[in-house]
Amino acid sequence: MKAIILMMFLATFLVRFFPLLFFNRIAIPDRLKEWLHFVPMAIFAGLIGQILFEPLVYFPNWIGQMPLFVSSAATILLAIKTRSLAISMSIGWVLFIAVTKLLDFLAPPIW
Amino acid sequence: MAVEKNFQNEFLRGVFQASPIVIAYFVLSIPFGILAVKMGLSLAAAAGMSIFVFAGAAQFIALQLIADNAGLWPIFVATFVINLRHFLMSMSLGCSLEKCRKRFLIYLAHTNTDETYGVNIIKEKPLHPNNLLGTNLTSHLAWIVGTALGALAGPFLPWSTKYFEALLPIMFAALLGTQIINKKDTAASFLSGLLTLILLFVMKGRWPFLIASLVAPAVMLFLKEPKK
Repeated sequence: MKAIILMMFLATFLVRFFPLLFFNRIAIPDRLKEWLHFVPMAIFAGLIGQILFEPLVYFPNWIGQMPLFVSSAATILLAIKTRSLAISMSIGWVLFIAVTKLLDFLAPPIW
Repeated sequence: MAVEKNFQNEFLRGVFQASPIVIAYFVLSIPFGILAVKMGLSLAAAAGMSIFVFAGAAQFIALQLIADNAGLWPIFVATFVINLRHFLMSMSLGCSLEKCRKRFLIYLAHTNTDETYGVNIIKEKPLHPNNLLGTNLTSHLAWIVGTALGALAGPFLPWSTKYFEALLPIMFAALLGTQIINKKDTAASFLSGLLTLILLFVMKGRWPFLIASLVAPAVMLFLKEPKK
C-alpha cells in the first residue's frame, strides 16, 4: 500500500512541479502568453465536453445525460452572469437533483 | 512587521477564497473515504492517499484498480495519464505567479488541482504566493479531513453517491463560466468543447480533451490575425 501511494505521489508530483518551476523562472514571449490566456478555459470546456459526451459515444442515452446537460449549461451561464462560484454551483446542483427526480417521476428509470 | 501583516492578509484572503472548494471537496472526499474503506483500505491508507496524492479522479480510479489487483505499474501509468492535464495547469500557473522560492513551489505544485487552479487563475495577476498557499492549504485540509470522516463514518451509512458525483462536472462548469469574460473567451471554450466531442469518436482515454485544450487556444491565435 505504501508503495502504491509513493508511486501515485511521484506520478502526480512530477507532472505538477517541473512546469510550475520552469515557467515561474523564465520570461515567456507575448505570443505564448496569449495562448496561455485561453488554456484554462479550454481545459475546463474540454473536460466538461468529455464528461458530458463520452458516455454517449458508447451508448446514446440522451435522456440519462439530460440532468447533467441542463445543470452544466445553467451553471456556466449563471457563473458568467454572477461571477460567483458558490451561487452558480449550488443552483446548478439543485437543478441537477430536480431534473433527475423529475425524470424518475415521469418515467421509470430504465436508463 | 509590514511584511508579516501582508503575509497574514494575503494568506487569510486565500483561505476565504477556498470556501467553494471546501464545500465541493467535503462532498467528494467523504464518498472517497467511504469507498476506500469499502474496498478494504485502512483509514491510514485512505488518508495517506489524500495527503500525498491529492488528485480526485486518480484516487477514485486507483481504488478500482486496487480492487482489481491491477498491480503497481498500471496504477502508476493511470495516475500519470489522468493527471497529465496538470502539466498545462502548472505551466499556466507558473507564468502568472510572482517569482517565488522553491519550497513554496513544491507545495503549490503538489496542491495544484483542477479546483485550486480554477480558483487561483481567475485572481488578480500577478498571483501572490501566500495567497495561493492559503487557498491550497485550506483545500488540501478539507480533502484530508473529508477522507478521514468518510473512512470513519462509512461503515455506518447507507450511501448513494449518485447526486454527489454530479458535483464535479458542475464545479468545472462554474469554474469555466467565471473565466469567460468576452466573446473570444466564449469562442475558445466552445471550440474546445466541440473539438473534444469530435475527437471522442476517434480516440480513447483522456486524449480528446487534452488535445482540444492545446489546439483550441492555438486556433484562437490564428483567428485573431485578420482582424488587426
